Amino acid sequence: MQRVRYLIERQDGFVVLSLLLLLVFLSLLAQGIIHMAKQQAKTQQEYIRHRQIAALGTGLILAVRTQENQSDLQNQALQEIVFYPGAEKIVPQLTIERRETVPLQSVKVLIKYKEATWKMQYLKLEPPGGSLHNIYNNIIFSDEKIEGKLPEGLLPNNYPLAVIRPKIDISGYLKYKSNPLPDASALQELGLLSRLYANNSGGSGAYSIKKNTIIRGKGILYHNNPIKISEGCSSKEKLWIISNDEIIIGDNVHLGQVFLYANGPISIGRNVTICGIIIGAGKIQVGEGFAMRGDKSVLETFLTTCYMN
Amino acid sequence: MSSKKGFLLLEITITFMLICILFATFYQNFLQIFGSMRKIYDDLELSRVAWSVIAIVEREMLYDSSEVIIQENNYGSRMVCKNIGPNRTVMFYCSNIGNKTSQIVTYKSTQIMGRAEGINPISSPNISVVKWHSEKIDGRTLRLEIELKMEKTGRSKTFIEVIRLCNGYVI
Repeated sequence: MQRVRYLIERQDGFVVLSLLLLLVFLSLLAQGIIHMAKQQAKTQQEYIRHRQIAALGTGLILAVRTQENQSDLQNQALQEIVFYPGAEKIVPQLTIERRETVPLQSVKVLIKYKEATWKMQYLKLEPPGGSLHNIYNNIIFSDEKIEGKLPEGLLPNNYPLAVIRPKIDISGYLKYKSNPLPDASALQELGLLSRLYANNSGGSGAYSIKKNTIIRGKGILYHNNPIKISEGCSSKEKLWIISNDEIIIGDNVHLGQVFLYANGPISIGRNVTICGIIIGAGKIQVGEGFAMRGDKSVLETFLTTCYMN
Repeated sequence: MSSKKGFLLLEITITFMLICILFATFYQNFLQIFGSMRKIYDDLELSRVAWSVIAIVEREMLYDSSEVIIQENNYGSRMVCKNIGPNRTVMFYCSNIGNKTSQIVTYKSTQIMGRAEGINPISSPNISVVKWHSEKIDGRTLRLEIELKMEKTGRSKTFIEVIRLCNGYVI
């Protein structure tokens, strides 16, 4: 500063000052450009990283899904992978959970990156007790009685073919649900996405599908309280409707490939057509014009779509 | 004191003159710097638009599509994504803006059963899509190639992306 003051006093310091100002201006400009480039590189790296993680997770989940011997699958930390740019190390984790009481198998790929954990998963579900449980030798079964006129041959002479009904693992369905039960707009906009739908345990009241809804897509609907399919509804694809309470089917409902399982009574309206299996703990009441065909293919393992949490 | 009154004005004038001399001497380099800055800015803008478009396409396909059908139209490929939810179909394609100008942008069309079709542009109107081509690699994978061009400067860049479907198939 003394030197600057000295130069100013001598009136010949202006050249040095001007050059200094110019230098400051140019260095600020250069810094600005470098900062902009750095920020851009950082953003680009994050973008690439997210895509790499999504691609890795997708690849792993597909590899697990196509693995022939699923019983060999176990929890494990997979091989460390180095992502570029940035040379960041990532260790994907494979988590397999089996719950025999539902029964189901949950497969998750977990990838921890910075503070967040990416989760990609799918579920394999079987009907309560497993698809080979001898209760499913019956096409229609009730712990109590079946009222109403059934189509001929639906009940074999030696009915019931098995009497011990498997229990429902309520907490299992609630724990592994992938979506809440779809409301009317979700059913209209998307349909079912081949997933397990259930509301939180706190949810009360019946779950009702409004009149004349065409239910498209596959899915499992589980509810702790009654499930009501209102009159005129229909579905063609694989649908599991499981209730810890009663199931009410309205008039003129047509369900093409359905598995109905209730821990309470099942009430079926008039002119209903069902293709599948019906199991109920309480009384089963069928209305006039009830038509049913047994279809055990509905009991085959339900494989949900892969989804990201 | 009176002899020092014009000092500041003189200094500013000489500084300005010096800057002019410096600029005149190195103007080509300065022009190069500004030209490069323009190119960098254009590249960043093109990249941003490409990332945004690719992210939208990828989000639709990765987990939410059960089927992706690749078709061709006058402006390149048209990708029809059938959602896992059977009521929804999304299409990605290119077309000119309002069918009047020659400028081409990418559109996303969403069709939900029982509702009117919703069409929205997903690329910037300042940037023209020169190439929009996709091809099947295998049953689950497709390759998307996009060439974008800045309308003002003519700067263009090609982006290639490989997208793998987790819940669906490419047809």
